[in-house]
Amino acid sequence: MRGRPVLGAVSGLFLGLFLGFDLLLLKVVPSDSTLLVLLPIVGLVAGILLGRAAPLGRKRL
Amino acid sequence: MARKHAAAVIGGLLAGAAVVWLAAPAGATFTSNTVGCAGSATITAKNGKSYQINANDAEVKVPKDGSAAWDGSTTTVTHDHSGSVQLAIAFWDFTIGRWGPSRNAGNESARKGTKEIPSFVAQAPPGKYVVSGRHQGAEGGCSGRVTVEIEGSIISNPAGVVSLAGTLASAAGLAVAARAKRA
Repeated sequence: MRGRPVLGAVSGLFLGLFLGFDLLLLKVVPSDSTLLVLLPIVGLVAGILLGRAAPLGRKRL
Repeated sequence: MARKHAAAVIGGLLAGAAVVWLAAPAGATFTSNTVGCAGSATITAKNGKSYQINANDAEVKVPKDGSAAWDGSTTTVTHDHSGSVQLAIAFWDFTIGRWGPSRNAGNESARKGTKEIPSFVAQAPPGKYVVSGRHQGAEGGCSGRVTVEIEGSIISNPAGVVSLAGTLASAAGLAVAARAKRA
């Protein structure tokens, strides 16, 4: 049993991008915030790790 | 002169702050000012609401439409001057307007005028945009930065709706990726 690291990487990257854009449009962060770059990177890494670990939906023995 | 107007209005991003930059080449929260740059603007939105902007403001709110009456000056007349305006996105600065070089043979030290807010501003997503600018002449110059807040809600703009939908779709994709699949 394993997850989908490639899908996780793509989804995490886009989640970070969209989340950053949401924060910008919500006026939570200004346009020069480093979060706009950090969030996609964190999303990418987290997506890969989540995809590899696949913690959801495991059957307990 | 017309070129300078166009550069600053486009460059001044999103209206009001652009006008202040045009008026007082450089702008709010001066990081350097050796020639006494100063300026202000009064923006009147189409709904009648008025916005006051001063070149020393660190953050300004601007409407998406209306007109701006601006004025700007330097205490020292500058010659052979040029300038530019940048929009800061994360670590990068994008030049969105520039003017000069100009000799300023007429020895102008103050200017004023009225500008309509460009129609494209109405389509701009809401948010806080950091804009910086500089003006440099033979006698010295000034530079500064300002945070321009464009009014509106995230769901009032197509880009905001797309962004929210993208967030949900990406989160769903991440959930699928994190779900164990059978070997």
